[in-house]
Amino acid sequence: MIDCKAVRQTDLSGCQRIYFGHETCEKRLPAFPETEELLETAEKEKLKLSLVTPFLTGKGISKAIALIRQLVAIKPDIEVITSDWGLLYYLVTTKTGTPVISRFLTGQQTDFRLNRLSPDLFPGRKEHIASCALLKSNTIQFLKETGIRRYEVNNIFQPFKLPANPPIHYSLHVPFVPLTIFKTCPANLDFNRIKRTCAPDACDKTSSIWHNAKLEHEIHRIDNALYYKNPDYRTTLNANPMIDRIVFHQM
Amino acid sequence: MREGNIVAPVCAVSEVAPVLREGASEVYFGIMTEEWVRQFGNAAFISRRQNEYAHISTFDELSEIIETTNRYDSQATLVLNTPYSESQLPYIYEILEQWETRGGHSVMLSDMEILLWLRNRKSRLKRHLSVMAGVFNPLSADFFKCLHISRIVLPREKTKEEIDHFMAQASPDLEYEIIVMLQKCEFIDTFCNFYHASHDETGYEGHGCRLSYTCGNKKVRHQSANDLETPACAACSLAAFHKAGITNYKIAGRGYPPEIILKSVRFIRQVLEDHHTARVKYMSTFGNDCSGLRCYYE
Repeated sequence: MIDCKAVRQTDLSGCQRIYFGHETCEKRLPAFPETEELLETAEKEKLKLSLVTPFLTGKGISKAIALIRQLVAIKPDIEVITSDWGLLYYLVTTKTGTPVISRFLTGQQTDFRLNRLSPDLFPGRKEHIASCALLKSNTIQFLKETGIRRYEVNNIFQPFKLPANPPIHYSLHVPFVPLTIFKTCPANLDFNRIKRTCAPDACDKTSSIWHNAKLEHEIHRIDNALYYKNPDYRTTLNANPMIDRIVFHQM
Repeated sequence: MREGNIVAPVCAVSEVAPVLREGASEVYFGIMTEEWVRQFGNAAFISRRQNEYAHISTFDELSEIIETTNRYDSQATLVLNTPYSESQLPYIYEILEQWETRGGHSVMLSDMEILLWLRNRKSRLKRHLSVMAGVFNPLSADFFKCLHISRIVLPREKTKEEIDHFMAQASPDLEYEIIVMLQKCEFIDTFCNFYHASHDETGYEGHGCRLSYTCGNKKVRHQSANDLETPACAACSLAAFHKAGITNYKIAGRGYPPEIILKSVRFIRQVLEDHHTARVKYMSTFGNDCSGLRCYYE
């Protein structure tokens, strides 16, 4: 996943597909002219494209739909990774692009502290913390009927096993695992100052690291979301051979 | 004149009549049975609220809640608003069957599997879509309509402008509910994965959203969460919400002391009767001036 404004500075060797857009903030979705360089590069390097979109307000969904329409006119098979039910509804009812359920909608439980809960204390808890909200039989079937064939998941610490349900495919995001999203970036690390507007000083920074002495992992603030990092994806792949795509984040 | 319904939380049968007498039109509550706790513990896995004391625990209490709300010509909503795993579904389905058989009114949900299950069995339970589902725009509401929902609880992260924009295009055949008191959080309900456990759990440091963090040599400052002295509130916006078509006003705070819930119901009732003096009533009800930092939807 890359910043589409920095496509020329990005090493794309070994990639089959480019993810671009923004997964947590509608204000960071690119305008169509900003994607031109990316479209040229994808054409030249024969790379496929996935537009990543966040949850969307009324204004945000209009902006996203306008962008998608322009992109689809050039790349009809473009994937749209959606974190918003309204955008998914638009895509499936208008048969626009290829909709994919984002890692935010798939609904894994991602707090890394879940990994240290004793599995013996409560017999049902291990299965619960390894589950995904949407990956249940009737839901998969319902979404399959709307055209959903791919779900995206996180490389969480606790072991999990995705349901094998062909022709469903899975993408694994590495290394950042999202913990939570806030509406706008906190100004000067002060959530009391979150009001109607975003904090440009926070928005322009790529990342900062938060610490708590009692927690065993650092927390990465990337724009308006918090993540932890788990770069070791071999264990997840071994347990889930139906994962056929890895999405590396350059953040 | 009263305009709109106040929807109040209860954690026990004994709390139902007092909040209805105070002016609530509806109540909502969760259930955490002993069997559930044995299987899954008492973390927030059944209703995005941890601890037994924030829930009723038996099916007989379901009947008692129905009886009391019917006596007051009111209704009750059972909260089952988190995503569940396959092995939890039989427990959830049994609770729903008990609730419906005993005469329950409505259920608050976010899990699509359960919405599909209710639709397939032609349940008569009204289905309220929780903030956990994440209906951020009118097209999302259109998506969920096919799952036979009757009411949407709007995300509490919206601004007033976004709410107006949403309601201007909102489907008229759905009801809308909005949180107007208590428990404002800086994170988005739908996407927040911080584990909420009981503070009794060994080694539990607290909710991730309330822990102290440092960034470099600076401290991260969370939003104030002092709901007992300066509760989060949207009272000044009630008239605008009503004008926009939102008619159900929710008091958050399942698990809070009943006194703060009763005060909140009384306060919102008074503001609905005369919205011009919301700040004065806030001061007289809670004993503090509203800080301006505790406003919802700003």
